[in-house]
Amino acid sequence: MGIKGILIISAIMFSLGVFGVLTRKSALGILIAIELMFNSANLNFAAFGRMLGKIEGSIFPLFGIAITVCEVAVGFAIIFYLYRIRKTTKADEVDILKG
Amino acid sequence: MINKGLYIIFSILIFIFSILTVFHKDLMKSALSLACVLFLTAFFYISFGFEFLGWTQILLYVGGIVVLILFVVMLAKEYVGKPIESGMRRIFLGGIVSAIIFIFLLWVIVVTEFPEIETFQETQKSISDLIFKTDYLLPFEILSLLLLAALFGGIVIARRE
Repeated sequence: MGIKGILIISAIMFSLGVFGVLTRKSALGILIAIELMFNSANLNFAAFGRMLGKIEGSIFPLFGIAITVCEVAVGFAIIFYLYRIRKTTKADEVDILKG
Repeated sequence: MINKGLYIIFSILIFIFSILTVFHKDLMKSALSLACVLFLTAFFYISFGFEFLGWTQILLYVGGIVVLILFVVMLAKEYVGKPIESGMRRIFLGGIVSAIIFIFLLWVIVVTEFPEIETFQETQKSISDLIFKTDYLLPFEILSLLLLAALFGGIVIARRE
Protein backbone atom coordinates (compact mmCIF):
# COMPACT_ATOMS: atom_id res chain seq x y z
CA MET A 1 0.00 0.00 0.00
CA GLY A 2 1.58 3.24 -1.12
CA ILE A 3 1.05 6.68 0.27
CA LYS A 4 -2.33 7.00 -1.43
CA GLY A 5 -3.87 4.28 0.70
CA ILE A 6 -2.72 5.92 3.90
CA LEU A 7 -3.96 9.31 2.70
CA ILE A 8 -7.36 7.80 1.88
CA ILE A 9 -7.62 6.24 5.35
CA SER A 10 -6.71 9.59 6.83
CA ALA A 11 -9.32 11.36 4.68
CA ILE A 12 -11.95 8.88 5.89
CA MET A 13 -10.97 9.60 9.49
CA PHE A 14 -11.10 13.35 8.89
CA SER A 15 -14.53 13.37 7.30
CA LEU A 16 -15.92 11.09 10.00
CA GLY A 17 -14.54 13.59 12.53
CA VAL A 18 -16.29 16.46 10.72
CA PHE A 19 -19.50 14.44 10.78
CA GLY A 20 -19.12 13.87 14.51
CA VAL A 21 -18.48 17.55 15.23
CA LEU A 22 -21.57 18.54 13.24
CA THR A 23 -23.96 15.92 14.63
CA ARG A 24 -23.03 15.27 18.27
CA LYS A 25 -25.10 17.09 20.85
CA SER A 26 -22.80 16.74 23.85
CA ALA A 27 -19.66 18.84 24.09
CA LEU A 28 -17.73 15.73 25.12
CA GLY A 29 -18.68 13.95 21.91
CA ILE A 30 -17.61 16.99 19.90
CA LEU A 31 -14.19 16.95 21.57
CA ILE A 32 -13.80 13.21 20.88
CA ALA A 33 -14.55 13.84 17.19
CA ILE A 34 -11.99 16.67 17.16
CA GLU A 35 -9.43 14.18 18.48
CA LEU A 36 -10.18 11.98 15.48
CA MET A 37 -9.48 14.91 13.12
CA PHE A 38 -6.23 15.75 14.91
CA ASN A 39 -5.16 12.14 14.59
CA SER A 40 -5.76 12.08 10.85
CA ALA A 41 -3.71 15.27 10.39
CA ASN A 42 -0.81 13.75 12.34
CA LEU A 43 -1.01 10.58 10.26
CA ASN A 44 -0.72 12.68 7.10
CA PHE A 45 2.40 14.43 8.39
CA ALA A 46 4.01 11.10 9.24
CA ALA A 47 3.06 9.57 5.88
CA PHE A 48 4.64 12.43 3.93
CA GLY A 49 7.73 12.25 6.12
CA ARG A 50 7.92 8.54 5.28
CA MET A 51 7.46 9.29 1.58
CA LEU A 52 10.37 11.72 1.54
CA GLY A 53 12.47 9.36 3.62
CA LYS A 54 13.20 11.86 6.38
CA ILE A 55 13.11 11.47 10.14
CA GLU A 56 11.90 15.10 10.32
CA GLY A 57 8.45 13.80 9.48
CA SER A 58 8.07 12.60 13.05
CA ILE A 59 8.75 15.97 14.68
CA PHE A 60 5.70 17.84 13.53
CA PRO A 61 3.30 15.13 14.78
CA LEU A 62 5.09 15.31 18.13
CA PHE A 63 4.34 19.03 18.34
CA GLY A 64 0.80 18.29 17.21
CA ILE A 65 0.33 15.75 19.99
CA ALA A 66 1.57 18.26 22.58
CA ILE A 67 -0.84 20.93 21.30
CA THR A 68 -3.67 18.40 21.48
CA VAL A 69 -2.82 17.74 25.11
CA CYS A 70 -3.20 21.47 25.87
CA GLU A 71 -6.47 21.67 23.98
CA VAL A 72 -7.93 18.63 25.71
CA ALA A 73 -6.88 19.76 29.19
CA VAL A 74 -8.42 23.22 28.85
CA GLY A 75 -11.46 21.93 26.97
CA PHE A 76 -12.31 19.35 29.57
CA ALA A 77 -11.75 21.85 32.37
CA ILE A 78 -14.31 24.10 30.69
CA ILE A 79 -16.76 21.21 30.17
CA PHE A 80 -16.38 20.09 33.78
CA TYR A 81 -16.98 23.64 35.08
CA LEU A 82 -19.99 23.88 32.77
CA TYR A 83 -21.38 20.66 34.21
CA ARG A 84 -20.91 21.94 37.77
CA ILE A 85 -22.70 25.22 37.31
CA ARG A 86 -25.28 24.21 34.68
CA LYS A 87 -25.76 20.45 35.25
CA THR A 88 -25.59 19.81 31.54
CA THR A 89 -22.92 19.41 28.88
CA LYS A 90 -25.19 19.56 25.85
CA ALA A 91 -23.64 22.07 23.50
CA ASP A 92 -26.89 23.51 22.21
CA GLU A 93 -28.41 24.10 25.63
CA VAL A 94 -25.56 26.36 26.71
CA ASP A 95 -26.27 29.35 24.57
CA ILE A 96 -26.13 32.17 27.11
CA LEU A 97 -22.92 33.45 28.61
CA LYS A 98 -24.25 34.41 32.05
CA GLY A 99 -23.60 31.76 34.69
CA MET B 1 7.95 -2.14 4.98
CA ILE B 2 5.60 -4.63 6.55
CA ASN B 3 3.54 -6.65 4.09
CA LYS B 4 0.48 -5.36 2.35
CA GLY B 5 -2.16 -7.57 3.94
CA LEU B 6 -1.40 -6.31 7.42
CA TYR B 7 -1.81 -2.73 6.22
CA ILE B 8 -5.18 -3.53 4.70
CA ILE B 9 -6.39 -5.29 7.85
CA PHE B 10 -5.31 -2.38 10.03
CA SER B 11 -6.93 0.13 7.67
CA ILE B 12 -10.22 -1.74 7.84
CA LEU B 13 -9.97 -1.84 11.64
CA ILE B 14 -9.29 1.91 11.74
CA PHE B 15 -12.34 2.47 9.53
CA ILE B 16 -14.60 0.34 11.76
CA PHE B 17 -13.42 1.95 14.99
CA SER B 18 -13.69 5.46 13.55
CA ILE B 19 -17.30 4.77 12.64
CA LEU B 20 -17.93 3.41 16.16
CA THR B 21 -16.30 6.52 17.65
CA VAL B 22 -18.61 8.84 15.78
CA PHE B 23 -21.85 6.84 15.81
CA HIS B 24 -21.94 4.97 19.12
CA LYS B 25 -24.71 6.08 21.42
CA ASP B 26 -22.72 5.46 24.60
CA LEU B 27 -19.95 8.01 25.14
CA MET B 28 -17.86 5.58 27.19
CA LYS B 29 -17.71 3.11 24.32
CA SER B 30 -17.12 5.95 21.90
CA ALA B 31 -14.05 7.03 23.88
CA LEU B 32 -12.80 3.43 24.03
CA SER B 33 -13.13 3.10 20.24
CA LEU B 34 -11.15 6.34 19.95
CA ALA B 35 -8.44 4.62 22.00
CA CYS B 36 -8.44 1.73 19.52
CA VAL B 37 -8.11 4.14 16.57
CA LEU B 38 -5.16 5.90 18.21
CA PHE B 39 -3.51 2.56 18.97
CA LEU B 40 -3.80 1.42 15.36
CA THR B 41 -2.41 4.77 14.18
CA ALA B 42 0.57 4.16 16.45
CA PHE B 43 1.09 0.90 14.56
CA PHE B 44 1.26 2.89 11.33
CA TYR B 45 3.84 5.27 12.81
CA ILE B 46 6.02 2.41 13.99
CA SER B 47 5.83 0.70 10.61
CA PHE B 48 6.95 3.96 8.97
CA GLY B 49 10.10 3.81 11.07
CA PHE B 50 9.08 6.53 13.53
CA GLU B 51 9.29 4.42 16.66
CA PHE B 52 9.59 7.34 19.06
CA LEU B 53 6.48 8.97 17.60
CA GLY B 54 4.55 5.70 17.85
CA TRP B 55 5.38 5.11 21.49
CA THR B 56 4.69 8.75 22.31
CA GLN B 57 1.32 8.33 20.66
CA ILE B 58 0.54 5.30 22.83
CA LEU B 59 1.81 6.89 26.04
CA LEU B 60 0.32 10.35 25.61
CA TYR B 61 -2.82 9.72 23.59
CA VAL B 62 -3.97 6.30 24.73
CA GLY B 63 -2.55 6.56 28.23
CA GLY B 64 -3.21 10.22 28.89
CA ILE B 65 -5.91 11.80 26.79
CA VAL B 66 -8.30 8.86 26.55
CA VAL B 67 -8.07 8.29 30.30
CA LEU B 68 -8.84 12.00 30.79
CA ILE B 69 -11.84 11.68 28.47
CA LEU B 70 -13.08 8.63 30.40
CA PHE B 71 -12.66 10.49 33.70
CA VAL B 72 -14.71 13.45 32.49
CA VAL B 73 -17.40 11.19 30.99
CA MET B 74 -17.71 9.43 34.34
CA LEU B 75 -17.55 12.63 36.42
CA ALA B 76 -20.21 14.37 34.35
CA LYS B 77 -22.64 11.56 35.08
CA GLU B 78 -25.11 12.77 32.49
CA TYR B 79 -24.20 10.22 29.84
CA VAL B 80 -23.13 7.09 31.69
CA GLY B 81 -25.33 4.26 30.45
CA LYS B 82 -27.70 6.64 28.73
CA PRO B 83 -27.90 6.84 24.95
CA ILE B 84 -27.56 10.21 23.27
CA GLU B 85 -29.58 10.87 20.20
CA SER B 86 -29.31 13.62 17.63
CA GLY B 87 -32.06 14.73 15.28
CA MET B 88 -32.51 13.38 11.78
CA ARG B 89 -32.18 16.83 10.20
CA ARG B 90 -28.83 17.36 11.89
CA ILE B 91 -27.56 13.95 10.74
CA PHE B 92 -28.72 14.72 7.20
CA LEU B 93 -26.97 18.11 7.01
CA GLY B 94 -23.81 16.84 8.71
CA GLY B 95 -23.71 13.88 6.35
CA ILE B 96 -23.94 16.16 3.32
CA VAL B 97 -21.16 18.47 4.54
CA SER B 98 -18.80 15.66 5.51
CA ALA B 99 -19.52 13.79 2.26
CA ILE B 100 -18.60 16.91 0.27
CA ILE B 101 -15.35 17.24 2.22
CA PHE B 102 -14.57 13.55 1.76
CA ILE B 103 -15.23 13.59 -1.99
CA PHE B 104 -13.06 16.68 -2.39
CA LEU B 105 -10.19 15.08 -0.44
CA LEU B 106 -10.54 11.83 -2.38
CA TRP B 107 -10.47 13.71 -5.69
CA VAL B 108 -7.31 15.59 -4.67
CA ILE B 109 -5.61 12.37 -3.52
CA VAL B 110 -6.48 10.41 -6.65
CA VAL B 111 -5.55 13.18 -9.09
CA THR B 112 -2.19 14.11 -7.55
CA GLU B 113 0.92 12.27 -8.74
CA PHE B 114 3.06 11.31 -5.76
CA PRO B 115 6.70 10.28 -6.13
CA GLU B 116 7.68 6.72 -5.29
CA ILE B 117 8.32 5.94 -1.64
CA GLU B 118 12.03 6.32 -1.05
CA THR B 119 13.96 3.74 0.86
CA PHE B 120 14.18 4.88 4.41
CA GLN B 121 17.78 5.39 5.31
CA GLU B 122 18.46 4.50 8.91
CA THR B 123 19.97 7.69 10.18
CA GLN B 124 21.86 7.82 13.41
CA LYS B 125 20.69 11.40 13.81
CA SER B 126 18.46 11.31 16.84
CA ILE B 127 15.27 13.26 17.31
CA SER B 128 16.72 15.25 20.21
CA ASP B 129 19.58 16.43 17.98
CA LEU B 130 17.04 17.53 15.42
CA ILE B 131 14.96 19.41 17.95
CA PHE B 132 17.71 21.06 19.94
CA LYS B 133 20.34 21.72 17.28
CA THR B 134 18.27 22.86 14.30
CA ASP B 135 15.41 25.21 13.58
CA TYR B 136 12.91 23.32 15.72
CA LEU B 137 14.21 24.83 18.96
CA LEU B 138 11.99 27.93 18.85
CA PRO B 139 8.74 25.98 18.29
CA PHE B 140 9.77 23.66 21.11
CA GLU B 141 10.22 26.55 23.55
CA ILE B 142 6.95 28.19 22.48
CA LEU B 143 5.25 24.82 22.97
CA SER B 144 6.57 24.54 26.51
CA LEU B 145 5.14 28.00 27.26
CA LEU B 146 1.81 26.87 25.80
CA LEU B 147 1.83 23.77 28.01
CA LEU B 148 2.49 25.92 31.08
CA ALA B 149 -0.36 28.27 30.13
CA ALA B 150 -2.69 25.31 29.61
CA LEU B 151 -1.70 23.92 33.02
CA PHE B 152 -2.54 27.19 34.78
CA GLY B 153 -5.69 27.64 32.71
CA GLY B 154 -6.96 24.18 33.56
CA ILE B 155 -6.35 24.67 37.28
CA VAL B 156 -7.94 28.13 37.36
CA ILE B 157 -11.05 27.04 35.44
CA ALA B 158 -11.73 23.76 37.21
CA ARG B 159 -10.95 24.66 40.84
CA ARG B 160 -13.71 24.97 43.38
CA GLU B 161 -14.69 28.43 44.53
